[in-house]
Amino acid sequence: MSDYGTPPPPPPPPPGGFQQPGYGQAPTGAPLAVWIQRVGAYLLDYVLIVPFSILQVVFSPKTVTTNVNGVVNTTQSGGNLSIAFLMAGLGLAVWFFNRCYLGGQGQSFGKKVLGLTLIGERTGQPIGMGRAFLRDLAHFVDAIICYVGYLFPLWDQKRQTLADKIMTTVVTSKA
Amino acid sequence: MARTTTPAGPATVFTTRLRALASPLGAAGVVATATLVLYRTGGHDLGPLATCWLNAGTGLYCPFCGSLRAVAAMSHGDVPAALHNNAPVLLLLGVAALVWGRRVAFAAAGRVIHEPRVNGRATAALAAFFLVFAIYRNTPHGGWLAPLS
Repeated sequence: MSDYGTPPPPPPPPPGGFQQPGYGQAPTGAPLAVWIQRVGAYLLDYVLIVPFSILQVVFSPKTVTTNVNGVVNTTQSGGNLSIAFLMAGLGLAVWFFNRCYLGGQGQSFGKKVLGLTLIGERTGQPIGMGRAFLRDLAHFVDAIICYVGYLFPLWDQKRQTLADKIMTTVVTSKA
Repeated sequence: MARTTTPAGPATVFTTRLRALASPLGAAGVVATATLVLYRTGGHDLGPLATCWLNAGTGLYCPFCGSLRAVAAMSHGDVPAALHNNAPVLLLLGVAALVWGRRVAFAAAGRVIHEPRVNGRATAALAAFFLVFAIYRNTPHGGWLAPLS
C-alpha cells in the first residue's frame, strides 16, 4: 500500500468520558506502576545512602571485648564520633534531597532509572518537597502493621501503599 | 524497506507465554524459599525485620501477629496450629494461591488476564474486620485466635 493521501481516522474516544481514568491508569492516562517496579526504585534510592551508613559504622567507636586465658578485658576502640555523625547527617541529607526534593518534582533517583513518576492522584502533578517529605513519614503507617502497607500495591485497585492513600498520590510507569 | 512490525508467529507466541509465566513462577520461587526458611526455623527469631513493632513495644497482638508461625506450622502439615496462629491471614494466603494459579493457567494458555483488584470499599471492610479481629484476639475470650508462642 502506498496510499499516503488519506490520513487514518482518529482513534475513538475512550469509553466512559474523559473524566474517568481507565482501569489501572492515572489521571494523566499513564499506566500505574506495578509493585515490583516500585520495590526496585525504593532499593535504588536506598543504595544511594548505603556508603554513608557503612562509613558511619566504620567511624563509630566500638566496644572491644578480649578474652586472653580467662582474663576478660573491655576497651573502647578508636574511632571518630564527629565523622560518624557527619556521615549519618550526610546520609540523611542525601535521602532528603533524593526522596523529598527530587521526589517532590516527580522522580527520585530510583524512580528516574526505572521510569516511574510520583504524582498527585487528583491533580496529576508532582506533589512538591513538603508533601513528598510527609509521604515518607507516612510510610511509618505501612511499616507498623507488619509491613503489610508496603504490599498494598499488589492488590489495591490504584496500586497505592497506605502512605499513597494518606497523601492521595499514585506512582505511574512509562506508557 | 524493512517491516517495522514483526508478524506474530508461533515463536512470538511462545516467547510471550514464557514472559507471562516469568513473574508468577519467579514469585513462586521467592515464596518457596521463604517457606523453606520458615519450615526450618518455625517462624521464630528471624531478626528485626520479622519482629512485630506493636508486639515488641506493647505486648499486644497485631492483626498479623503469628502469620509467619502459621505458615511454618502449615509447612509441617499442622493445620490446627496454623489456624490458631493466624486464621484470617492463612485464609487470605489461600485466596492468593488461587489467584496465582489462575494467573499461571492464563499465562500458559497465552490469554490476557485482568488480575482481581481490591477497591477502596473492600479495603475499608477488610481493615474493619482485621481491627475487630485484633481487639478480639487480645481479650481473654480470644485466646484461641492468638498466636501460639
